[in-house]
Amino acid sequence: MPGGPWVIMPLMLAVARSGADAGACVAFAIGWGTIGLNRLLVCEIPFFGLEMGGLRVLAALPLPIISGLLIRRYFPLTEPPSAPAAERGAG
Amino acid sequence: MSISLLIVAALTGLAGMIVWAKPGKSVREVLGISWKQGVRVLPIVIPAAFIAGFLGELLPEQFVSRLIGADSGMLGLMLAALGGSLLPTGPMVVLPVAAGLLQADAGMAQVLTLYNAWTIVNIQRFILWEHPLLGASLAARRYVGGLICMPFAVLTTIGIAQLLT
Repeated sequence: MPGGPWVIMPLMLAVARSGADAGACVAFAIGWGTIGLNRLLVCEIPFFGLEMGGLRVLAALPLPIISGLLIRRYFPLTEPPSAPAAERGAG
Repeated sequence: MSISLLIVAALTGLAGMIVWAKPGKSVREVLGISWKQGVRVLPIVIPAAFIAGFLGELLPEQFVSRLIGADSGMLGLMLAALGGSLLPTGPMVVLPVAAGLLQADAGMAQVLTLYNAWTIVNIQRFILWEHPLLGASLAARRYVGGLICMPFAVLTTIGIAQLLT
């Protein structure tokens, strides 16, 4: 998914408030950071090369799933996330 | 022409054709948005491309090699992870820095660990974006999720380095 943290984080909060569990939300955010296709094509391959950049992303494929499963198992959200500071400040 | 440029150009062409073919969608509006993005991003991208070259020349090879070289072991990997978590910049600085470190004799596993740490457990992103936008409970879980998968990320970088060197 293209976009910076200002796009991804509000989206993650919205799906968490809609009932998505913490593991899925964390997997989403870690996936955006580690295996983002947009960043691979635009930034990583030009600087690291196809082999190194491509292998890095391939090797990182399990990371969002591992972190998501462990967060789901050990740190589940017991209630929907509360309003973050930015939201409280806005209104 | 690089493969990434070809893929990005193909995706752009495909997206352009879809917008052009869809009634009610304006190519002119798309071009306007793209122009605004380009004007904002290009002044950052062009100098960033030079950072890798300058760093490769300026960084003392022996020092870099001792600190995070291929033979720096677990300490080098931990230093790289710490560096990645502390770097207060965006991808257009981190990637040239990583490429510059590679030229200055840093190990591939160490450089990839630095980059992975920057993507997964960067403290600046946590303070500036995640905590304010997600709230404490969700942001903490995201960060802990990153910390949990860092050891796996380090193992994968060691595997990649062994495969490619």
